[in-house]
Parts: sequence; C-alpha cells; structure tokens
Amino acid sequence: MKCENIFLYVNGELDASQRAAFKQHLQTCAACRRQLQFLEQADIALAAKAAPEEVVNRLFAKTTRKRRFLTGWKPVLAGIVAASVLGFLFLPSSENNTAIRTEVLAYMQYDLDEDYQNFANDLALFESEF
Amino acid sequence: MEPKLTGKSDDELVLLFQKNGSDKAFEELVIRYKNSLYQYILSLVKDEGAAGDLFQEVFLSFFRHANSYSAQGKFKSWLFLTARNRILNHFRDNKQPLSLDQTDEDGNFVFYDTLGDDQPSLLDALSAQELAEQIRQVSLKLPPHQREVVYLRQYLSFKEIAEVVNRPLGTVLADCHRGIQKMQQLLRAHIAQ
Repeated sequence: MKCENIFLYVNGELDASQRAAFKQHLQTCAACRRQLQFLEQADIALAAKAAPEEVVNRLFAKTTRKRRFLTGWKPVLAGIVAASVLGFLFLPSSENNTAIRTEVLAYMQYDLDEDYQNFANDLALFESEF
Repeated sequence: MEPKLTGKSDDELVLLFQKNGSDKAFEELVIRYKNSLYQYILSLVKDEGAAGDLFQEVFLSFFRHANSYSAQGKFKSWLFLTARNRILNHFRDNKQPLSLDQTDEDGNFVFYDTLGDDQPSLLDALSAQELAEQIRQVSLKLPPHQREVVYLRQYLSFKEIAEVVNRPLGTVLADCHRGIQKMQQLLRAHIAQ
C-alpha cells in the first residue's frame, strides 16, 4: 500500500481491503500520519459555509416565487386591469385622449418584468434589513 | 400535499420538477447544494457579487431548461460542471484568462513527504482558529487548477472530479497533492514571518 492512496482513503473511496491495508500503512508511515492530520484540518477550514440568504432568495424570486405570483387571485386582477386598458384604448377617440393612448401604448412596451424584479429585490433587501 | 422531499434522491427530485413542475422539488435541490456550489464558485472567482450572480445563473439555467438534463444519477456532477463552464465564460467575458485545464506535469501521482521529521508540525504552531483562517487564506493563493481540486474534493469523489474537470484520475490526485503541499509551504512561510 502506497502513500498516494491517502486522498482516496480520506475521501472514503477505497474498498474495504484497500482501506484496511492503508490503515496498516499508517502505523508505519509518519509522513502519512502528519498529512492525514493536516487534511483533517483542511477539511474543517474549507468546509462549505452557508451561501448568503439574499442570493438564494433572489434566485427563488426569479423562479419558484415568481411562478406563484401568477397563481391565485392575481391573474384575475391582472385580467381586469388589462380589460380596462383595452377598453380605454378602443373607446371612440377624441383629440384629448389620443396623446394619452400613445403614452399608454409606449408604456406597455416597456419591460415591466425587469422593473418588477428590481422592485421585488429592493423589497426583499428592505425586509431583510428591517 | 407533496410527500416529504428531503429523503428523495437528486434524480427523483429532478423528475418531480420535470414532470410535475414541482417548485418544492426545485427548492430542495437548491437547498441541498447551495452551500457547496456557492463555495466552489467563490473559491475560483474570489468575488462575492460575481459568485452570487454565477450561482443564480446555474440554477436559473436548470429551472428554464430542466428537460435537457436526463436523470442518470449524476445531477451533482452536472451542477458543478455547469458552474465550471459558467465560471470559465465569466473570466472569458471579462478578458481575464483563467486556466483550469493546466497541469503541472502529466503522468502518475508522485508522493513525497511534505514535512520532514525535523520540522515542527504546522498544527502545533498555530491555534485551531488561526490555522483554519490561514488555511482558507493560503488555499486562495493556489493556482486555479489546484485550488479547484482542493475545494471540489470537499463535495465530490475523485472519480466525479475527474469527470467534471475532464482529466485522468491520476492527474487529479496529483493536482490535489500539489495543492495541499503548496498550502503547507505557504503556511510554513507565514509562520516563519
């Protein structure tokens, strides 16, 4: 059994007979014993720390929580708003509301999704701080 | 009501997400790997903001294209491989070359003692807390291809690492050994200061 198996030993990747042989090797190899001690310390030091909650929350806001936004009563509300806007747009026109309609149409082309996302992120940050 | 997900395998969760669109299955996968994946990315990019963005990109990509992953019991490897590609793209986009494919030499692992019998033990020279902090510091000074393996071995088997980095097992073991050796050298230099 050679010293090079130390990493496979530490990672639990040796089979039972190789593991037993390496354990025996450890009794006679001071270098491996020191290396093993260091590897145990390195494992403690480099163990994964928690990923920032804010990062995970932002991910959920873009995926699973965003989906939930589209369920329940909110689509109904969105439908009412959309119907109102369409109704306004297709009512008999007058000079006064032509300019407003142009503005509304321009606004509808704006990327609201990104705005909503930024707002949701700001809100999440605010809630985490206060 | 969905059954308890914590006891399910990665592939079972992936299938639940693919077939039923289970949000809880997706979130369980994120929770399962968030710490290790984030730590791996951070160890290579060394920037918390960029690490957070890349971490999200990996899972967003899975969320949007989950059907492109075929369950083969290798979700973890697939996740780290996706992260690795994203990291390489990140450095490429920022015009900062990062070589993760470099090796010190081809061929088999050669072991030699890193601390002679007459040298004091690093573990005796530093307190446990100071040692842990110094180990973290020196690990970030390793060449990227060694640093990558030293971190990945916390989360993956060497066989899985060899698949993710696309290098032979012997080369991966050699890179790990040299990384650990270099960390010890850097620690000794720190103690000698």
